[in-house]
Amino acid sequence: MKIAFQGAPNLRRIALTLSLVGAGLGCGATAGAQSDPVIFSFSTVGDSRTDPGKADATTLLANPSPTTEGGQPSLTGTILPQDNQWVTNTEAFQTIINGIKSQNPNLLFFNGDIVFGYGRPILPSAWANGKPNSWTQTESVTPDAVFEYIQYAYWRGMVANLFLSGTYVMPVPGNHETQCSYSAEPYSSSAPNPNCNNASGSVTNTSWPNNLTGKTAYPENENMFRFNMGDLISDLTTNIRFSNVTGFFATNTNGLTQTTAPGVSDTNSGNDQTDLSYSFDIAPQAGVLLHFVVINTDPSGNDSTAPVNWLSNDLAAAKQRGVTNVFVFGHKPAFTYNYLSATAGTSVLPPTTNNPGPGGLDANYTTSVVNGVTTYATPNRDAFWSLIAQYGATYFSGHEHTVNISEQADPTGTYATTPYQVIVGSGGSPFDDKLVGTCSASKPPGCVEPNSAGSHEYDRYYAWATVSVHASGNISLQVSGFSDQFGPVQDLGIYDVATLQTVGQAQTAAAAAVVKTKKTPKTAATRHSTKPLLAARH
Amino acid sequence: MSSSPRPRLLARMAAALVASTAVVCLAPAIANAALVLDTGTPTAGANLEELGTSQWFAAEFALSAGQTVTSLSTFLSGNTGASYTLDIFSGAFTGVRQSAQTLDYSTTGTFTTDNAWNTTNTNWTATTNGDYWVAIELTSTLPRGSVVNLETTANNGTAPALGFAYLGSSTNGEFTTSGAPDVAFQVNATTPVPLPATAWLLGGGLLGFLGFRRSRVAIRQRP
Repeated sequence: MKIAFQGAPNLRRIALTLSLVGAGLGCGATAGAQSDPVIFSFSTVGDSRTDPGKADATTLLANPSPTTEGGQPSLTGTILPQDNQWVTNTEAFQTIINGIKSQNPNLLFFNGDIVFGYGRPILPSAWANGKPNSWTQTESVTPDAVFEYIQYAYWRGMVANLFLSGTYVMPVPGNHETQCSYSAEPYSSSAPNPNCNNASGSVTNTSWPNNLTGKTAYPENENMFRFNMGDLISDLTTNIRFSNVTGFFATNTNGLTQTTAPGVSDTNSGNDQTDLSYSFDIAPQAGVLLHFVVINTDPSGNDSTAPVNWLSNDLAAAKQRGVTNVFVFGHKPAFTYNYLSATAGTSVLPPTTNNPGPGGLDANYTTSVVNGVTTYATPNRDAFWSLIAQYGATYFSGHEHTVNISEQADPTGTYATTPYQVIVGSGGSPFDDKLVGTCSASKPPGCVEPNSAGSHEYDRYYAWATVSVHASGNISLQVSGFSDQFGPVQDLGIYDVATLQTVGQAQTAAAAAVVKTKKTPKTAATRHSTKPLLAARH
Repeated sequence: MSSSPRPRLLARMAAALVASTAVVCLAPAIANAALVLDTGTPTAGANLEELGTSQWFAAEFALSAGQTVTSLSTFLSGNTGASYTLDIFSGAFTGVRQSAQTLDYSTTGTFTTDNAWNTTNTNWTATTNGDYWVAIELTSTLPRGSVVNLETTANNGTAPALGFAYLGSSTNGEFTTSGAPDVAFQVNATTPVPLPATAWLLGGGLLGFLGFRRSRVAIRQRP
């Protein structure tokens, strides 16, 4: 017996077709997301240290009454004792770490100012390797050394969990690591650090040269960075855990020995730069060879400079190897972001009221007056950025406590590319852009209140950037962050970049036609991208 | 052996009638499903809140006892593939330090469609009248470099949220309504059809069937 509707076979066909179409649509959505999968990614942020004397106003807490809940934000409150002792904005940095863990990048480049530091951590001579476990009962250490060791240890503890979730941390030295500030806490102008130069360059017990900002990099400070961070860098070659955590091997390491690190030509001193400026390659898939470079922008003997001679040789060698993309990380930006740029142009020179002036590599400037007109020259910065432009690289920095993405032309006019500068010094340090009313009436340099003059929306956001290398060769950047009120983590879409680079950019940029006629350099135009957000991710 | 055409026709008709009766009985329940929370469809790409493993987002809505939540939806964008947890809490999150809410129901969802409502079917019935919260948190580790965003709304849908709350690293592990973003949620719920109406429909259907059968027998018995 056959009981069946005549139309049933057709119905079955239709149903089958519909289900296939449905499945196709469903799978299509998934396939769409995976059509250009991420083959490698890294996050980057800097400046998680706070300031025991000048914590950001929104991090202050009050306990209004013993019978009510304490710890509420208060502009007249005090810094959390924990953060005062270990000098870290724990809440902001921990939130960033959690966010980075959610995104699961292969690497985290931390762009300096890991610690407040700023002392001169002179160790006993017996501590030749800088390790506390080598000390003896007869040795004693300077207070600055103790102060800095505990801060490094606190920071290392905070990031330790990232390794377990598959993100390896690469450290970048900042000025708070390599420099001593004669008046920084617990010292003061009236009771200065006896081991550091003062602002006028007069010397107490050392003949070390002063620099432009009243802070001076010393070999002892560079040693302290090596002692506390060197294992992370040397693991690029010893490979005890690097490949296990990231899933990739680092190759062609450079700068991990004194002979391959920057020398006298870049430091004016010849002091050991091992593990302070270094580089390596990673090949996430055939045809893609990524080159990562970390530079010390405050080497002892040559503060506020990039090691352009070493970098030039490093990048030339990378090009010979067929490197397709270059990412450079340093603490100080090449082009200081001007918080007043929304309303008062982008120039940071000359410093004016409510404009603290340049603080990056452009702080190392000279002036000349011709016919009563002052001009400013920044030869080291210009040479550095010309290299970035030549190789089509992207430069990531910290130092300025904010987030800002901009495209910058070659100041020398040699190369036509306009690489991105990514400032993410927004890891927890007190914001440069102060809340209105929290600067003193005289508004001293370094205390800007552009909130009252049209600052950018996210100048007071804690933020980090994540760069994704896609199988197609497209490289995108996404910026995530949260407000100074510690609100939820958001995608700071205006700073997302759909195409930061493309695979092969290092090769094509190096081969790009040299600019025939000198172009007018682009000013530090702030990037407020309106590119479709989603395009940045697929 | 071949069956006679008449009983076969009768069997077919009976089956069709039972089926149509069942459809009639079920139809009111389906038709009664409605959005009890609809914050409105967001403008794509505007103010995205990142969904991470350390922060929850929640929206408030009202339910009556006996209402069954049949689906929970959130408007997501970013990289698909991640899984997330959806919870329903009862009680109100007001201010801070609200960790003592009752977890009534928990399920999981998967981000399958970018820049669209992503829906998880549910079957949970409220036992008391009151305010409830639907909350979402990422549970899976994302593929490298991936991001999942909750999109925000003007809360101007057909059933706007009564409130919003979130839990983040900065909220001491507790939900807070202070500064909580208006994220996009939809909750679909049914109200059970009252028993008398259902019984009436079923009874009507059965009576019709019996009447039909009786008329067929009468026709057959005619000389």
